[in-house]
Parts: sequence; C-alpha cells; structure tokens
Amino acid sequence: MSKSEKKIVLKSLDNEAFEVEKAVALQSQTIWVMCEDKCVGNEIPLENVTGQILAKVIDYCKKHAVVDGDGDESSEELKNWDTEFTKNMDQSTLFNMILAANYLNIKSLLNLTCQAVADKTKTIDEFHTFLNIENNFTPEEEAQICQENLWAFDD
Amino acid sequence: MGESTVTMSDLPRDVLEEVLSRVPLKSLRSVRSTCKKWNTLMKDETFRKKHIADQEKSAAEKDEFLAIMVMDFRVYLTSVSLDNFDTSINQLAKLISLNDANHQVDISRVFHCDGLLLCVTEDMDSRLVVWDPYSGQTRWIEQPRSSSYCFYDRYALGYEMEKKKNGSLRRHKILRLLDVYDTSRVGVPIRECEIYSLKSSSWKVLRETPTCYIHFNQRGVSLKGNTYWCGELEPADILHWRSFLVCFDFTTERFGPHMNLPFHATYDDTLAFSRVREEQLAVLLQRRGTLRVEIWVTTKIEPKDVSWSKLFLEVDTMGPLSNAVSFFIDQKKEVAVAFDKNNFLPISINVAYIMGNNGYHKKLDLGESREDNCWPLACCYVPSSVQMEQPARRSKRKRNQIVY
Repeated sequence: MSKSEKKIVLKSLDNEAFEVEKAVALQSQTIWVMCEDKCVGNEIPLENVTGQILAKVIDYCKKHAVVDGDGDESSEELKNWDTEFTKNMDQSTLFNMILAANYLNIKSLLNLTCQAVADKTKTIDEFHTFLNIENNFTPEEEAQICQENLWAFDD
Repeated sequence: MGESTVTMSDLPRDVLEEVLSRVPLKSLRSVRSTCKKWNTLMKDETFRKKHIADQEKSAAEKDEFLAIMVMDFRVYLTSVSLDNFDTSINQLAKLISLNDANHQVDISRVFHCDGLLLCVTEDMDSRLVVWDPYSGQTRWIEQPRSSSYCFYDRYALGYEMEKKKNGSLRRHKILRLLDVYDTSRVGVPIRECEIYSLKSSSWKVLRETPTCYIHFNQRGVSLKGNTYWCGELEPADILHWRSFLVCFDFTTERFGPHMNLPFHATYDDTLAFSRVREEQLAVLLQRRGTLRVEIWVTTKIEPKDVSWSKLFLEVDTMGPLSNAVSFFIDQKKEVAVAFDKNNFLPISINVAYIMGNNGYHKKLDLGESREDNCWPLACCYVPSSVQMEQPARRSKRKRNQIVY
C-alpha cells in the first residue's frame, strides 16, 4: 500500500473531523459503499456517531489496517490488543461502540464488542444490574420460567 | 446524543441478537430469566439456529469443541481442545436441578442423540428423563407397566424422520433393551425390547428382538437418529465367538443385519464405539493382554451397510482399558482421547488417555472416583437446533405429569 494513498475526512455527529487514510476507513462497509457511490466528496458525514466514539473506532481500524495480512505473531499481538481495547470500557461506551460498529458495518469490531458484553455477564443479577434490564415478570410468570428451567448447566 | 448514556435496552433487536447469540450455553437460563423480551427471543427458532451457529463458529476459531461428561453420577459440560502436545479438558458447567436439595441430581447413565440427553436417574426408581441442555426443557418419561425395571436395562434415544409438506420433522423415540441371562436356567437369554414415542407418550412392546447378544457394558452410539452397538453371537459358543456391528433403525423399529467390523475380535477384547460428527462411526479395539489400541473409522455407514477406512490410529496405552471405556477422536489433528478409570485400590482415579500418531501418548488425571459403579463417559455435544416434542394435549388424567 503506497504512502501517497488518498486520505479522507470523517465527520462525526458533533462536527468533529478526523483525517484518516482511506485503507483505514474502508474497513467500514458503510463508508466503502459511500465512497463507491461517489455520492460524497472527500468528507464523509457520519450522523450516528459522536466524536468520542469515532476516535475509538478509528483507533481500532488503524490497528487492524496495519497488522492485517501479517504472520502469526502479530495476530496474537492483535488479539491481546483487542482484549485491552475493550477491557476498561465503561458499559455505555461499550454499547455506543456496538451501535457504531453496527452502523458503520465493521464486522470484526461488532464481534469484539458484542463478545465483550456477553463475557462480562453471567448471572441473572448481573443482567439486571450491569446491563440495566428491568425484571418485568409477574410472580406467576417467574414461577413458570423457573418451572421451565429446572435443569440447567451452571457453574 | 453527545454524552448520553446507552444501555442494553437501547439496542435495536438485530443488535441485541448479536450480543445474546454470544452468551455461552451455561448462561442461557440466566438470559431466559432476565426479562420477557429475552425469554421470548430465546424461544425463537431462528434465533436458536443463529446462536448455535455463532457458538460453533467461535469454538472452531478457538479450535475447541463441546463434550458432555459423566463422572461419579454428575453430568458436566466440558470444552475440549485436542492437540498432541497441548490437550485440555475444561469443565465449564455442571448439571444442576433447582428442585433438589443442594441443586444436585445424580445420573447413572446418559445417552446423547441430536442434542438431547436421555438420562437415567441414580436412585431406586431409575427414572427416565429427556433433557435438552440448550432450552432447559425436561421431559419425564413414564415407565412401562408391562416390564420390571432392572439394573441391566439399557436405553437408547433416536428419531424417525417424518415427512411434512414443508420439510421433515424429527420424531424422537426411546428404546429400552433388556438382554440378560436367566440365572435360574443356565444359558437361557431374556430379551425384551420396548419403544416409547415422545409424540404419542406411550410405550409399546416390540415383537422383534435382536438376533445377537448385546453386552450390558455396551453403551451404544447414536448416528443420524439410529443406534449402533457391538453385537455378539451366543456366548455359549466361545470357540466360534464373533463380534459385529448391529444397528437399531428407529424408523423401521427393527434391528439390522450383522455387519462386519474391520478386525476379528474375541469375547474378552475391549471394544467401544464413538460418533465422528454426525457423519461417521469410529471403533476402538484393545486385545486382551496387550496395550495396543487400534481405532478405525467408517467411510460409509447405514443401518444395513458399513465400510471401514484404513486404520486411523495405532498406539500403546499405559495400561489396559476397561470395557466401559468411552472415547472420541479428532480426525484433522489425528488425536483420540479415551476416558476410563484406573483402580489403585483403595482409590480409583478417573483418567483420560490422549493418543496421537507416532506413538504419542499421555495420561490426564481427572480426579478421584468415589463411586464404584460409575465409569466416566464422554461424548461430543452439539446443541439441537429444534425444540423437543412436548406431549400431545390429552385429558388431564392421562397426561404425563411426573414432577421431580
């Protein structure tokens, strides 16, 4: 990939502009389609992503654009980088990243962030507290669910 | 939108599915019990298929697969990663029953077919239950009135494909087989076969019984809905002893012909079968008095026809295997793992032997076995992509209402 590769500008919902190499940005299928359609100039407005989140997405894409196609050692390194990347994200950032990855259509990032949420929760209480999901079963329904799940694999 | 807080409830349905399809099997009860929306989603057939496919994909990326293990009457979900020099067997979760004290339930035997587990409880009644570990559903099976249950009963779970306008449906059935010798009349076999249909919730006695002896230790292996056993000609004729493969076809509800094994085995050799994905059957042989283990794999397997490939693996083990041994293989990696018990009286140890080509052999210690009558069992597990049949709605009096 030549260094003289064209650069493009990604503009966030809150009007923050990021100049990135095309190869980095094109990991997003959504941006790829926009560029193909030539419906945009050099500047691509992303109406669903804030600057704070977009910066993180670009970090991810930069890391993956550099290492892709290299040997085994770097894929191991990339895995560790991915783990660190999501490790300290707060819950809201993680969900914003999921929404951004979904909107921008970056499969590997969607996979990484969804897996991070799935890995962080195990018990019903964790689903209720960590993920803020309201328990909306009536006592009768709760008894019914319990009856339907008498046997299970559990830790 | 700027700094607004986003929670899981804000995710659109397709994105929510992306997250939940990555939740491991052992957390599914928690997911179903979290809220109405998630419980409904988990029961959706399309989501179920996606979840199973995603889990399989992620396991394949990590080069792992799931297995069910029974040790000391407890059922475990384990993840197995096979490699000549770096094999690991990790217990992920244990079967628990909310209705029992300590949440524990003892299972003496397990038979796996099509993602469903047929379990026999380890208690005086030896109750039968079909359990779908994916959906959490259990279905208790009433016992046939005609027969007297005994320790020597063997069970197998299978299915018949029922053709429907839009595709076909799996109709699950349970086979009960009793094949023992009447101790009061030497040499007189008692053979009883009964079959239970999950659709009709009823047992019926099969007039036709196998034309061979199926040893009590034989666990049987399910492949494409049918069950394969090692059959033997009458033990009275030891000189002309012959072992062969025999299949119970759950569609015709009959035992098939005697089919060849890739070797000639005698009555005191150790023989075991294993399923290789949903495609093939593998057989393990260790001749009496030797440590050499041979494993062969089928190239073609049907209820009435079998052909065997060349030898898959040949290796010496560290000790003789018992005839309750169970095993599975990874064809790509050319590795086999056998599960057995080592008796170093007064204690017994559950062990796994990892066997590879080039004579590679290693023993893994799986801990002390405190139950004399329970040999470790392991089989590969792939969740079922369809819901188990529930009993047809009948009058309340007749409905299967055993509650555990």
